Amino acid sequence: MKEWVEEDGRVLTCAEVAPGHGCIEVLAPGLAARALPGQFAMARSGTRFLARPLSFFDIDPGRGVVAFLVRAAGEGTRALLCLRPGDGLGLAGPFGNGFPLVSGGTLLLVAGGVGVAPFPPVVRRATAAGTGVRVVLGARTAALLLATAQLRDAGAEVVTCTEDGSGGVRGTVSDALPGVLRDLLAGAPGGCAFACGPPAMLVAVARLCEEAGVPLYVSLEARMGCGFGVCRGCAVPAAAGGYLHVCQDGPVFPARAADLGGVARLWEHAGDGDGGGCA
Amino acid sequence: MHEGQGTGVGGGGPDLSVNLAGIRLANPVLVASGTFGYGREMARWFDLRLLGGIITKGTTLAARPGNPPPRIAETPAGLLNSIGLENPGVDAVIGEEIPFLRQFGVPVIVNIAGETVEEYATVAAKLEGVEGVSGLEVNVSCPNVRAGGMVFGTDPAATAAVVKAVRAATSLPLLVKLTPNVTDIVEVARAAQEAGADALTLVNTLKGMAIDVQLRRPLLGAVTGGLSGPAIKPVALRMVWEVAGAVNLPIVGCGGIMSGRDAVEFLLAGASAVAVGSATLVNPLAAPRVVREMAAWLAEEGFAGVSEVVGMARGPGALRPGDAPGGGGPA
Ligand SMILES: Cc1cc2nc3c(=O)[nH]c(=O)nc-3n(C[C@H](O)[C@H](O)[C@H](O)COP(=O)(O)OP(=O)(O)OC[C@H]3O[C@@H](n4cnc5c(N)ncnc54)[C@H](O)[C@@H]3O)c2cc1C
Ligand SMILES: Cc1cc2nc3c(=O)[nH]c(=O)nc-3n(C[C@H](O)[C@H](O)[C@H](O)COP(=O)(O)O)c2cc1C
Ligand code: FES
Repeated sequence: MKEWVEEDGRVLTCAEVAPGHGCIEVLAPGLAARALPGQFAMARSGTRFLARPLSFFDIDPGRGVVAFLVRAAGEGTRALLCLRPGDGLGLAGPFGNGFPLVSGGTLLLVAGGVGVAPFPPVVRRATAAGTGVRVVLGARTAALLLATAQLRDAGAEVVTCTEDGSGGVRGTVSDALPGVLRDLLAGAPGGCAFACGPPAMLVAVARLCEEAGVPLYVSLEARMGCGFGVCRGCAVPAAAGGYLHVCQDGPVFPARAADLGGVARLWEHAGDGDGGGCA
Repeated sequence: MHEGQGTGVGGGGPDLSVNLAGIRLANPVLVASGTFGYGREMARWFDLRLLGGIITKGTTLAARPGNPPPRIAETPAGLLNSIGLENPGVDAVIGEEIPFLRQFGVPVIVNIAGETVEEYATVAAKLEGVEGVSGLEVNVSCPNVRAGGMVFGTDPAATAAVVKAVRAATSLPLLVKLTPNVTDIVEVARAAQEAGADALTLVNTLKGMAIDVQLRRPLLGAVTGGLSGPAIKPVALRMVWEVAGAVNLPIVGCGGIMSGRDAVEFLLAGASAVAVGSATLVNPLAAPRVVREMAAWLAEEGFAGVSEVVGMARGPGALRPGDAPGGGGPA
């Protein structure tokens, strides 16, 4: 089986799930058969020159369907959220390494905002392998806590935090994390954590996991040209100096491999996008 | 002398083959340097034998980590890149990449760059005699490196110095890739010809930039980058036209080619072959599609071969392919 495919997907549903966020379900059997949790696809939005990287939010080989959870960050993602059932969506993938397989013990997932996108497939795979999964999910306000239902349905225990206190713990994920980590370590030592979200959050999570002695993997972002290794556009600073390549070596890296502070400086302005989705 | 003997795809169709400065291409569609890596990833997408040839990522003497990120910015009809010639160095390319690429039997042209004239010559000398290398493309036009690169390509004398040194270091066919960031590209093209170039690639990226309004600072880590894609096609085409009318070397047209029709435009302007760049980033299957579309166009229009079309748009009275000197076609 060829690992990568170029596929004309057909949009099944595209619905708003929170202000400025939508979920797009696409009939794309080739991708659905190949994608692994944590991998991504490059989506061509028609209106823009380059394709946009999007994580697999759902992978259903049985139905031949993949889904994306999309934040209206700019023009390209906004156009994606304006898709209608029956529309075509050019996709290529699956790209990247995905999250490592963890069996046994407890897996801790930490997500900020739309960073939760790759996690439902991770939860499903982990619970199927007998691994307990706990998720710490952060957002600015309760309306922006995404995918809690999908995570719980997939078998995860979910702790939510909001900066304004409108849902779950008041504060950021780094306020909730020390308690969760203590619990986790008391219950089952030898756990492992995956994090995805704003790079500033990843810096904080990496520090807390380091202190707690929990190995952490992070999923990183970079502006991409191709998405599959030929252009060398997706470099991010490595801890050892030099660069890592997000599309090929990642997007998932051991937290220690990346210079997360350096990555955070690249994205320090990336706020909540301009919202105004179509879905 | 007319070139382009050989068999095209399938019996009866137009003859797609091209002799580019002694390199026999099964069809005139190459892939542009830096948009195809060293072919490894692309071999997972399609049979590389469908291409006329492969131009590798820019290769330097020592490995280069490349420029600080962000390295990519989108523009309305293309992109800016400031990769900065990230590559594993010529020894690793000879040891690991060329052996992989040569199994396809497709001509491989190694794009080379250097910070000094000597470095270009050293890289060229190392590639001499390496099995599977059909030619060199001398990049005197990279806008993304501080030393070398475009500094050479904007000055006819410096271009000539690099080409002379490389010419002396190798017997391989030499393509010289020129920068569009000059007032008069013909002047630089002539200098390259006189210094021993066998063919010219026109063009590399146009120097540009983008500003992040939120941060109030340049978006690219290297501040400026190279603009490519459909945005630059009219500029590239104009330069192919100008050079084809003034220099007696075959030209590889490059800049914004997204379709077979775009490729045909370059041929009509006087290019003997074309290179597909950014289109591959947008759609990995773009280059073989360009081959298909171009072949279909030639067949529909009733051309017997690619060479018939080269320079055709130059019109009655203009020099035709094969007219020397100054013809727009193959030398
Ligand atoms: C591996 C990976 C997986 C991702 N998964 C998701 C996901 O599941 N859901 C989701 O909503 N977003 C995801 N993103 C982020 C998403 O790709 C960007 O928000 C999107 O590219 C922005 O495009 P735009 O046209 O809306 O924004 P614009 O600002 O108009 O984009 C301009 C350019 O910047 C690039 N760009 C801007 N922001 C980002 C960013 N944050 N990451 C990468 N490139 C960016 C765009 O690709 C484009 O080339 C992912 C990013 C990566 C790298
Ligand atoms: C990401 C990227 C990397 C490139 N790297 C090189 C390079 O290493 N050497 C070179 O001569 N040209 C390089 N180029 C320029 C292309 O080969 C080509 O000349 C240019 O992009 C114009 O063609 P296009 O519009 O079809 O992309 C690069 C272009 C891009 C987009
Ligand atoms: S995006 Fe092109 S190499 Fe990673």
